[in-house]
Amino acid sequence: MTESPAAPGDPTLIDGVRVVELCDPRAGRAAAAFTGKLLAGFGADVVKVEPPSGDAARREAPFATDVPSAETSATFLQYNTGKRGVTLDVTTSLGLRLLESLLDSADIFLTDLERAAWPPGLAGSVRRRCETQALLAVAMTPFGLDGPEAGAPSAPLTVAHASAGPRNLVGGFGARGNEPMPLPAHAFAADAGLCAAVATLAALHERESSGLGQLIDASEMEAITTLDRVDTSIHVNGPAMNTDRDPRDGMMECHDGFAFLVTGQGHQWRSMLRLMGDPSWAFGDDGEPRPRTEVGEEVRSAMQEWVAGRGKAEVYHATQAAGIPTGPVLTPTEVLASGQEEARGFFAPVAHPVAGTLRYPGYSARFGDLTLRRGPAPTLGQHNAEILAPLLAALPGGWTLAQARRAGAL
Amino acid sequence: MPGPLAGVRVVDFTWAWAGPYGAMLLRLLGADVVKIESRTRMDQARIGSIVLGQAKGNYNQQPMFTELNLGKRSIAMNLKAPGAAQVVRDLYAISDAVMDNFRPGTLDKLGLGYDVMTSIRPDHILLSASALGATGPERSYGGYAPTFAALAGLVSLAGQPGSEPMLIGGTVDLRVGTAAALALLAALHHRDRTGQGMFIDHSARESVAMLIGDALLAAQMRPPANPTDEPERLGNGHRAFAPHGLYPCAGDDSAVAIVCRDDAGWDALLALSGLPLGDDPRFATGLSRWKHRADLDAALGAWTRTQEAEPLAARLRAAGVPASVSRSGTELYDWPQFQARGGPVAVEAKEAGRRLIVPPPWRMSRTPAAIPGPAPSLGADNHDALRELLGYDAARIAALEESGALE
Repeated sequence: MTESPAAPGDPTLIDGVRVVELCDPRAGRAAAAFTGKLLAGFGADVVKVEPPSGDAARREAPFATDVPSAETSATFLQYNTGKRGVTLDVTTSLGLRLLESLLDSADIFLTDLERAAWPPGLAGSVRRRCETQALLAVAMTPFGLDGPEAGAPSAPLTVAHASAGPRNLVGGFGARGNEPMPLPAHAFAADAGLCAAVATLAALHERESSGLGQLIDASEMEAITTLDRVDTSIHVNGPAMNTDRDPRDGMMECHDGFAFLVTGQGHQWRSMLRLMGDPSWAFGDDGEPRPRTEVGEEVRSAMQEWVAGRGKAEVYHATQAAGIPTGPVLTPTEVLASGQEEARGFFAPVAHPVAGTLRYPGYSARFGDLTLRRGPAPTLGQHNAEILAPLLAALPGGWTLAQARRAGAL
Repeated sequence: MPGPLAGVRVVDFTWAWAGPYGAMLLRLLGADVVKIESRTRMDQARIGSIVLGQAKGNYNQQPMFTELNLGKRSIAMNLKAPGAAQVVRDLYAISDAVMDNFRPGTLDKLGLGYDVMTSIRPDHILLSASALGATGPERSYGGYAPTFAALAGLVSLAGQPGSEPMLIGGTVDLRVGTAAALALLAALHHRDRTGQGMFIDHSARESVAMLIGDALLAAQMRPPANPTDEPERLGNGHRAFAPHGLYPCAGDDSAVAIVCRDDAGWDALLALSGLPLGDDPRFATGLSRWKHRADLDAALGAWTRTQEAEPLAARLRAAGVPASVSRSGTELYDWPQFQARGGPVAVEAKEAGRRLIVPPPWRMSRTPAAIPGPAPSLGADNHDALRELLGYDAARIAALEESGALE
């Protein structure tokens, strides 16, 4: 796989698949946008429908520009790469009509609107389209489309806590010195978007042979709970786990930050001893290393001493070369500078007309000789003329963009 | 109605957490997943976890394994024993895709790599998952969930403001597995349309990094003075909103998460709590509330501490304020919303017994995903799979057992 972005028309994984994305304009709802971004990267034509005021993520700091701009939010830019964008006020009859026109040629309809927020008539129309045009409708809501708390007021933080994600993450209240908290940087939203994409592509495969559509009802709650299924099952069903040491023992402080070292297996421990100069306390009378669990506190202090005199990069490469799986705690800036990712072309520069050129992460896989499609997020209403003008002209009476704008539909 | 991947067969060489979970997602969606494992090099999840430790009981009872291999077939095989490679090649001939998470190159050395697969079935799909990918100077490096999370930048962002970065363990592996499953499905769709298979090189570290892309862009917009300067950690806080946090409630280990995104939410919170903060200039606007969030959190926390968490969260939601108790995994199963969505589900395994587990994360209207049954005991399908899938007779299976291939 090459570093250069696929040009329009190059073969990609799912080219030809048409997606319409209708997102909740409220702050922090990014899961469905992530699903759309993934599909766009795989080559689908994704049309993002925003309200005329823009997606809430457009107002989320930080911004690429000194003055906050609807075009330069890091969150919006990241979650909407590769899409085309139109503005529609779907609370107007003309706006809703145009959304229906977009759906006429769609394979996938992606939305994170709660059921009560769907424009009037849209739910029935989508249900019909699932049957008549093999539409795959993907609803990504906080708690699912039904149940006693479906549609209840929520925010990403409250969905995460409701779904036990934070308590599982830190191992309970106050455990390991942390209060329960969610993953940072919208990662739970990305989790949910990734999870929904799996069912979406499975349904797309099935549709190839059946020719039939369906509704996929996915939720942030269910994405979080399945990711924690191991911890949850152990809490509920047991059995109790025997841990002979605190897993944080592997977290060591280098002179420029932290690194996590895994030395639990015999051969890893032997390698670590060699790196530390085979200290005498680590060996029994027979000259063999004593089991790591028997040497107690000396282990941690000796490893910490060895690590403390070194930088993260040196610790990483020296231990990995010796067969010890280690992960330095890299800052985002260090991740961007990784030689490994440079060689793999994980980051690629993408130019945006307002935000400028930034290096965006790609997908975690290289797909034979196919490339990811890498394009910028759309500016607000960027593709109104290209996409909506023909649809307006085809409406009875033949509308123009200017007329639609005056009618408040865009 | 079977799941959407009915008719798809996957040979699953993966072990530990990430790969097995990815293959299991395909199984929940209806694929037939044939796990090839070994007694001589046992799946680590059958032994223990570097973060969780080890459960009492044998290798068929470890909860990590039983949660990450639901409904798979298990063939125990020593891939180096005579005859074993031919069994695998025969499985290649009747499967659509293969997943492995050996170190890059291992499958080739066993004579079972992508070239062999495509010589048997030209449109085969191989997803090869590794810590850092199959190319690049660090391709031979190993890793586990906590190291991928650290290398991807996730750990540096996680934790309370001013605290050390937070260890993040096995749950990261399930994110990696999800990304791998999606990659395989994208390739399957490509094959549906073009008739072409492919080799997919999957990186665990990149799976985690792509989940925090906004932070990776932010670091370019506002570069730190030094690359090693750790980014701001927010814990339960937010860059713009206050209140936005976890507030203690009456009783031990009880707290409620509350978020106010605008004046309407703040006014509703004040009306419900009776807190006399409405005229306080520190809390007059969204921006001033955020600036004085430490004072705000203290005042709010003093009130929530007198309240029972569940009823408080319900009253806040009824008033339009996003709120929830902070549940544990155990409390999750008692939550009416989780139950209304089909959770938990009981599975019964011969040795691991009856367990209540989390259901599939999607409702599909026409081809539902489902929990396909318990995880297999090691080698549970040695005989049945070879007989039913490959048509081997008893003598051939006995010869393989004799040669040590089925161990």
